[in-house]
Amino acid sequence: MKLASLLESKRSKKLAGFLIKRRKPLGILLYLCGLVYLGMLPRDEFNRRSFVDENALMVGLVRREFRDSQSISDYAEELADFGVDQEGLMVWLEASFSRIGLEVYSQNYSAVLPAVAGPQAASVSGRSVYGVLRAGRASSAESLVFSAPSGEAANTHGLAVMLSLAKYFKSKNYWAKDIIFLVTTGGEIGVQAWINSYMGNAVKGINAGPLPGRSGAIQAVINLEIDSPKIEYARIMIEGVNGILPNLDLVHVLTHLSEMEGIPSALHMGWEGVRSHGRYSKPDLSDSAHKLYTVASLMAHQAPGLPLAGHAPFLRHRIDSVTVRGVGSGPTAKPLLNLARYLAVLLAEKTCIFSVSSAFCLPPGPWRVVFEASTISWRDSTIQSSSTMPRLAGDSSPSGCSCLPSASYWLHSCWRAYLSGCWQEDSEWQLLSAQEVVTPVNSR
Amino acid sequence: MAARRWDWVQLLTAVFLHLTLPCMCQGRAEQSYSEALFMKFLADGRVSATFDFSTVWSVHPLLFSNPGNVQHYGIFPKSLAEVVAHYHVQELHLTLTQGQWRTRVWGYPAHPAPPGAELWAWFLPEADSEKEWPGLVDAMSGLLGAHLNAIDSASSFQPLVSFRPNGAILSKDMSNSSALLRYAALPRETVCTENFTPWTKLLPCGTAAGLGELFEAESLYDCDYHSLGLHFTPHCLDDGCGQVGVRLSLTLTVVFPPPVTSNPSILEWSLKSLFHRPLTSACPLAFSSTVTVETNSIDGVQVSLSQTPSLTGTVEVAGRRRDRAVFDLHSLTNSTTSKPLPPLSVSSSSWAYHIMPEQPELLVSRHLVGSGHDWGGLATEITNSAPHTVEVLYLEMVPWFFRLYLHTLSVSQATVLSQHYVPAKDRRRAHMLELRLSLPPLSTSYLSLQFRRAHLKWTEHKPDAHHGFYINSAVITTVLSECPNCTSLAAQDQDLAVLRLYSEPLLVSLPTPDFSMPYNVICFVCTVIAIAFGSVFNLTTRTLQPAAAAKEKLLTRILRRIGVLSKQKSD
Repeated sequence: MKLASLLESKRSKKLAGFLIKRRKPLGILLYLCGLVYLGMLPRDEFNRRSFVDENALMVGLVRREFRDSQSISDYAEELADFGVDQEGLMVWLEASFSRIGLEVYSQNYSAVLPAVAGPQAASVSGRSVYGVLRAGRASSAESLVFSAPSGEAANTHGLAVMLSLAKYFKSKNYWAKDIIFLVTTGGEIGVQAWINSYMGNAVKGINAGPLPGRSGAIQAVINLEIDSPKIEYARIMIEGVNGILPNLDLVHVLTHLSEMEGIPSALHMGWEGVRSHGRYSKPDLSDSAHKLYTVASLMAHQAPGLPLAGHAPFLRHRIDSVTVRGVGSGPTAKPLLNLARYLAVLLAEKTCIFSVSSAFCLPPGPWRVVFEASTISWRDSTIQSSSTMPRLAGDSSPSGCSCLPSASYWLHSCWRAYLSGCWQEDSEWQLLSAQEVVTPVNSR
Repeated sequence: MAARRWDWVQLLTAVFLHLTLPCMCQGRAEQSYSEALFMKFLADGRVSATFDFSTVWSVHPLLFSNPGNVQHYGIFPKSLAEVVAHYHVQELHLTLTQGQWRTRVWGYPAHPAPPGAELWAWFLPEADSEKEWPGLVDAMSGLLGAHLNAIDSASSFQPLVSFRPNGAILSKDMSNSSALLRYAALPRETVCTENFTPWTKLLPCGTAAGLGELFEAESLYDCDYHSLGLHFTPHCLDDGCGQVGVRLSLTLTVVFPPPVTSNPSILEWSLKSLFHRPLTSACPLAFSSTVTVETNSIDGVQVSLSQTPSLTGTVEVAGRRRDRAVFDLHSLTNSTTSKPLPPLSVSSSSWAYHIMPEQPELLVSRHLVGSGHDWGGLATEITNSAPHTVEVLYLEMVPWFFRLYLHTLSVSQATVLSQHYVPAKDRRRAHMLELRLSLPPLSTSYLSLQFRRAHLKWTEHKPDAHHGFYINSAVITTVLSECPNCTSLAAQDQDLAVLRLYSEPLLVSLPTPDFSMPYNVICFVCTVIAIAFGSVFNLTTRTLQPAAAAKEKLLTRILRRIGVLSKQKSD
């Protein structure tokens, strides 16, 4: 009875009338409030620190042993001689790969680019070279790809880092998955041609040649783009085709490792960094404005769905991939050895475990996570048999290294462990048009 | 008196022994054991070592079934003999392998095996294979410490033509039907020293003497390929196969990484550098204990030995000359002095890395096509580099939850001569496709087949569900008239004519459910019930009535009359 009386009271009638009369300005006001709230999300009070969800991925547990900076500079010197001679570079790369001891293959491709600004259609053709490092005692069921593009933008040092890491990896015997070292030409077209041929998909307009050698299912891809011998920042580019993001654990592990080596990482550079690849403004990574800018540019890059860098075509096939781009060569730049070292650690970890963590987010920076659906991994792995409890929003568990059992135990068991897949399948993820609003579909 | 009784006991014992000892000796005399190690350089500089421990016993396989028939096992491992006898097994093959044999570069292996575990068996003609197979699987998994229990009816197959009996055939009926054959493979199975130790226990000399002395787990497992094999077959004891016995062949194949030295163009290995253990003796139970090194020059690179072998010779193996150097351990070791053998080292000079190896005639490679969690495809490439037509048998085994669509099978270049397809039954039986193909000379044939991924119930997912599920290696079986790329021991094995190739196993991911959902559902439902149910129940079932005025107390009424309390009654 009280309820009924409330509805009929004069006050409520007045309130309802007011709301109905002022519905338009009220709507606009609420919409603006929503935008303001969105803009406030990057602030630290509204999000949580990033963390590595996968329990078995213990960041920093792998010994950082790579010390061969001499080979990076040697390779960089040899590569600098090539300049624009792509074919000569490919031939030299084939020889280098086979000297290291990898199985070397190459793929030809050609593509007809649709006419963009004129009646003539441009056609590109090129050759990609890749070397496969076969893991001992493994059945080649899974593989990782370490890719470095070569083309108009000089990627001399990226190739040098890749080659020296290849030599280092060949000497280790704990790999559980094959590693494919891929050098593509022609930007994303070359990568698209390679992955199409690998997956057996055909795309209209790209004529991809057959792949003479293969490994198993690709689990993760790291793409390197570095053009200077010392870098200040590592820009980790995560957006892919159609706005698909890789598994966040990959990004967070990279961030943590990068920080351990003294190279700060960012998802986007400062304002001026948008204009040209070379010029950048040092991003003040703790600045709120920069975080807001990062969120905005993430949204701006995801919405059109265009590929951002060489890792993007892999994401379409649900293979987690990121591009690491070295930025800056100011006075505080660190040598590439550090980058190479943590990439070695990353691949060593990747060879064993991957996670089932959340995939969708708009991170204001590599150290914070917004919109992150609570992540649960309920698995019974060969290393750990604990199931993590669901995390409620607001749980401020710190990220970083956890208690570490001995590295030797981890290394011994790491070749036995497996790489779990990505976030769970949902076909809505893959069809994103610019009009669809991207929302977290699975909150688990 | 006691002394005399003791004398009687001694006399009786002596008589008893004299009567029975010849029988026991005769049992052992009918067994012969030989061990061999065969080493060679592979085309990319790696070194392959193949151990073969083979026991031949002249007991007829059919006599095994009756436990009373065999009383003295001698050097034949009793545990295995009892398993074979109990489950009426005629032929048994088990391999536990780590790694994929790279046929393109290494040639054909002496004992082909797919990665993981593979078990196949022919049962005796009167046995009920349906009943015996699960028991045999359990017994073998216990014998070698492997997790073969994962083999169930959904992963067992009966190939029609691809796996015929090796060794002697006991009855004509067996050649026609495959009802007595069972095959299963587990690509997911890992192999480690827990399997290796029970395997060494089956050896007559174990790791105490003979070639078993070389076994050290750390060096054997720090390699590029490792395969344990156990092969039990009926064996013809003479040429006309008038007398049939059994043969147990325990094999170990290891491929070591290239033994580089400080000089990059010289590769050098020795038994000590590869195995890290000295070889000091031959097994006294073996009538032949040899180390054979193949000294063929590979593409002009010479191979030289540091020690003079007991015997060198050129053997004609499947149409190609092989230079073999044989070291007879019996003559090299002297048991009284027990000195370690002089070290054997082999070096190859002016080794240029990555000599392009001559491609073997037959190659098979298989990969997955398509991404996403709905459709997928298998694509196989079979390359025939021989200048003549080759007929092969192709066997494909796919779990039931990858639903094959046979109408999508497309074969290019090769001709399908016949096809045998067994469709799957959910959770009972897997798909099996057997094709007889004729491959044209100097061609590459492509087979492709599409499948659809099914949803499994959430309890059917294995631990680490996001890893995916394996599809068994495809098997290509053929008979080659000429086999220059065969790695084989002396012409003792009858299997030489049959060539078996295994493709790579495939790892396919299935759509996995969100395993946290049962927890979420329980939490949510319990919360709803705890919080909302009570209130909603009250609201919906309680009827409200105006409360009747309660009679006031006498004191209150009096006070009201006087005027202390207010005149109005409270609600």
